[in-house]
Amino acid sequence: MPPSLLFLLRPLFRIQPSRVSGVSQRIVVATRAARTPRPFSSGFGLSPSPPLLGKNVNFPPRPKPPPDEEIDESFLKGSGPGGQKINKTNSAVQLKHLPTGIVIKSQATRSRSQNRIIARQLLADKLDQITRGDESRSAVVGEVKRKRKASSAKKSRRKYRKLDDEKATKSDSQEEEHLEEDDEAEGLEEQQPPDQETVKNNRK
Amino acid sequence: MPRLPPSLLRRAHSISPHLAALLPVCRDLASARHELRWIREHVADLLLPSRPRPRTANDSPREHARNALLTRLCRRRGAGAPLQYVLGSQPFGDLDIQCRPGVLIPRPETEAWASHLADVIVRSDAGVGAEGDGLRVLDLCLGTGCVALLLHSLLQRRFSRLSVCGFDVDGGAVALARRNRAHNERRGLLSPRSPDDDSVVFLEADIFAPGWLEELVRHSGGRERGKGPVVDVLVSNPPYVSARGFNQDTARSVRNYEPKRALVPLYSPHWPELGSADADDRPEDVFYVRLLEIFEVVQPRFAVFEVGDLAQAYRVVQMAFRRFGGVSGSDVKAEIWRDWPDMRPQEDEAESMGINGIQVPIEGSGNGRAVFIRRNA
Repeated sequence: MPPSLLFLLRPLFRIQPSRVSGVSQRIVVATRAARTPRPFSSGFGLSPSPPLLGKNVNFPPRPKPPPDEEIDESFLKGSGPGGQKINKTNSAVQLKHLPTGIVIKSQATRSRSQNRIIARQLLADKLDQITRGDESRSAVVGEVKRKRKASSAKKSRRKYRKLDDEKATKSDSQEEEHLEEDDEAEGLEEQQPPDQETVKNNRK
Repeated sequence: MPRLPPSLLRRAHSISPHLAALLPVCRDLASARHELRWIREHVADLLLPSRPRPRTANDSPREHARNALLTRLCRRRGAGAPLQYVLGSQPFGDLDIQCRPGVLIPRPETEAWASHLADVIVRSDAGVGAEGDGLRVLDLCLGTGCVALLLHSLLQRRFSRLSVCGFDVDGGAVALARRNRAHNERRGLLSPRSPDDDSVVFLEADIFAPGWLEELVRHSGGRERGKGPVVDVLVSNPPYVSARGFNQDTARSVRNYEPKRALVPLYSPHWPELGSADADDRPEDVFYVRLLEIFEVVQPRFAVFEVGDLAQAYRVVQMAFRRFGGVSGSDVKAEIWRDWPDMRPQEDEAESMGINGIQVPIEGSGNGRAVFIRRNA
């Protein structure tokens, strides 16, 4: 299912929040927490609280690493006795995906077992990117992040432009309002929580 | 050790003086960078402000303290101290094991066999009691307690009545093992237990001391229940390095900073007489003589003893066969596990070895690292 159609599932998730995995719930909670400190959001009780389950549910699932038979794994082990006699801090893990020849190396942590998990996830992401292109999880996540960043940059630009304009003339503000609505229409996800409207109305 | 080229030192220094401090021990820029990153993360964790606050003019003393600590830790590491003593910890499976000078640092090879053993146990039909949900684990030569605690964390879901008992001759190691249990419970990596719960018990004892084994059996109530096994799993990472190997093969940071007693068997008057029963017993194998004696009494279903190399593994399996009758069809089976028992063997790595006329399987890839003994119930 293309990501743009996934919003159809949203009402379902709202009714049965228990169907959503703990991970995405946690992410959603974190996004909510980040929203609340916004000015005016609590001052106007009229607006409903933002929906509990937001856009994060729409991400494609995390890709699964390929089976171990397709992976050639090597630890960059030196020649030597190992065990009690030496004490290496090198915990690097290198994976080679045999069908494609992709090589992944990870020394993110001091734990070899952690690095094995991380390297497998990196490999899964890479294979996902190759097979599904723009629909892969990393591409979708990256796109959402890019949009969010662009949107916040736009908002900030708009804010300062508005302040400047307000200083100049008061009549221009009406036009600004139109611009803002156009912007929202192109947003893929619910960029603006409902309480944002209240803020806007208040300013009119 | 070859001298580091001055150009490399200059290059490291131009990036960061901390990097240059680490270079003598790391030997190359890539690993020095990794270690510097881990030390930085550690310092950031230590000096984390209790709550986030805006930057103020007061930040410069804080910055100063951070830099001073970073410099001190990098110098200590650069002088040769093991990174785990400098940072005070080592990841072990999912656990975070605290490390203190005087107690052997957990090795990744040990982590590999302990996790592999947990897999073998979970896949088997092991377990005692009506529901088969009981399992008793005995760890001798605890050190930091890493093996006992990792087995506990990996087996606690499968066995609801899991008990883990561990011994070490060194009081400092026992105290550290207890602290590691509490530390990992606090971090949510081990299921927390009530203080009077005796599912994890770490005690100080010399396993060679006369009467210790009898006391253990009496305490577990084994004798009262007849001839049943006293434990289900016996594990040990004993000192196994020879005096010669210690002088020749050990890394400098191991030789100069880690406790020799944990590496080379330290003579004890309670040692079994070497060379009487087993003609070619060597001093570095003395713990295995005792561990097999203990095996015979406590009758575990599974046992894993870490060893130094394939040759030592061979000698230990030979000792086991001599003691338990190494004939095919016997109820004791042995395997040798390499460093990474769940990895595919390389082309030049043998997958079995004939010992006393029995083909003993060799699992995984790397050096010979552990002897696995399975007793059919």
